[in-house]
Amino acid sequence: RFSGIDYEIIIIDDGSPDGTQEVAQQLEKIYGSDKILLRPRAKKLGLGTAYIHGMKYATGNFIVIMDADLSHHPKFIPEFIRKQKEGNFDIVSGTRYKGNGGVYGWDLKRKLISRGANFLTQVLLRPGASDLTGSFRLYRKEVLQKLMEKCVSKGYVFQMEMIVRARQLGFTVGEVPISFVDRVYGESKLGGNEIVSFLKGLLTLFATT
Amino acid sequence: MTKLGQWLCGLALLGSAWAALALAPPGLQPPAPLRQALLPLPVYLLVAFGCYSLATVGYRLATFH
Repeated sequence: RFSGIDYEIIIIDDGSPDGTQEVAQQLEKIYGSDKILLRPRAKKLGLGTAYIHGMKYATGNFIVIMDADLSHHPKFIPEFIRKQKEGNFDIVSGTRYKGNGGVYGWDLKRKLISRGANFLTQVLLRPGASDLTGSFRLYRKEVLQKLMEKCVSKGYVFQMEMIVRARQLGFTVGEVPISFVDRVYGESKLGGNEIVSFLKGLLTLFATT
Repeated sequence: MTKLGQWLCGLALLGSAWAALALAPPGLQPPAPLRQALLPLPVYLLVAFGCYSLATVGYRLATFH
């Protein structure tokens, strides 16, 4: 509010059972509906379509995509903006793997899988970005629109595909170390299914880009 | 060219260079010490890469904030 940066917040909720919408409505009352735009959807429709849905209402020049459960802390947003100005980047990607980036709340096994998967991704795709599966990023609006047209995958692979396609199209990517805080309540497991679909997606990107 | 394409090209290049030298007919063979080192080279490189991978992932895991 006091930073002098012009902003609006678009909240997309697919009917979360935890009272998210009620809280968002209260925020809207406090800050005004020009600053907080609540755009709910009837049912759980997936992350990619949420991006597209949200972009329809975005009026700014840049879009920051982030998780709303504070696993991504807003304190990094000024860092993203600063970095973007520094190099006039088309995308600024929050990375957990460089600088003082990291994660909080993961056990050793989860960290090992994460580092192992990232290593494999770096070897196969040589993407020029240290964190491909992160979803805390700043995009120039036109760049995000262009990428949404081109990307076809889902889940982790969708985030990877965004960066890979961006590089293909000649967009520039800057990086900012961020901390990811895994949810304190409830289990956030990485099951065998997700690992398999990650590998399938990685190999698909390897063979098609 | 896709990443897969790049890998296949690279492997084809290295593979044919290796085959040309290692499987050459008696008249064109390179000197004996070179040949001795050449034959196991692919396996050696694979093992070396495996060790590098383990070391790198291990290091990154240890320094993961």
